[in-house]
Amino acid sequence: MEEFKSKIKKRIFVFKCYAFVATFVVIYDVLGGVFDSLKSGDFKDGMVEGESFGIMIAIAIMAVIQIIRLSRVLNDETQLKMLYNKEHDERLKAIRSKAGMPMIMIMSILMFAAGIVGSYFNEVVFYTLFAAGFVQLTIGAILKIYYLKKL
Amino acid sequence: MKSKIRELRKARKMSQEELALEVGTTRQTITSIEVEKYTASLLLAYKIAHYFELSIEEVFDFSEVDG
Repeated sequence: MEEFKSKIKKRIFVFKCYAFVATFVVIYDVLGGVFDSLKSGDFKDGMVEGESFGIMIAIAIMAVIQIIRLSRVLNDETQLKMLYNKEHDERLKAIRSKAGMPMIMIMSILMFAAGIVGSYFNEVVFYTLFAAGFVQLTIGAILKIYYLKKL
Repeated sequence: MKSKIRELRKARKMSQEELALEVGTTRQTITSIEVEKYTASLLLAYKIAHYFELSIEEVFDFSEVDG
């Protein structure tokens, strides 16, 4: 359990880094006039800038939520044991495996990142990768829900 | 696969969550085993049987298993 505790502490540190970087990017965008370009640009420009901005805000919020949740778990032995059991539960591992996790999640994130980079060169690339990543995540979620009910 | 987990648990006035915590799994897995939706692995079956101080055969019903 001590090993798991140190794993949780490392995770909290990683989420703090995510939150810091995402917050920095959001503040940079705001100071750089992202809202002005969202107002003045056409729909396509707004979509691209808005997607990047929105993703950074989502990452920052999710990172903060995880930091709070994991910090609470660290202070409660029962919650820590429950989290340990949840992460090592054989049924959940089987469900994740059948739903294609974590590969689907990793591929979708890579697609979104590639889409953001590609948007600076070609907007069709942006829309295609974004749509593909979204569909992939949706399929993964449907499969997970299906197997959660089935098993 | 049928099992006597529910009866054994209720005899000890235990909740599914308490049993799950003791054997290193989640409440949902215990529920799935009790309603015969999920078949526990050998390791989990052993942990559950060991917790109730019984053999695996006394906790789980293998009569419907082929062979």
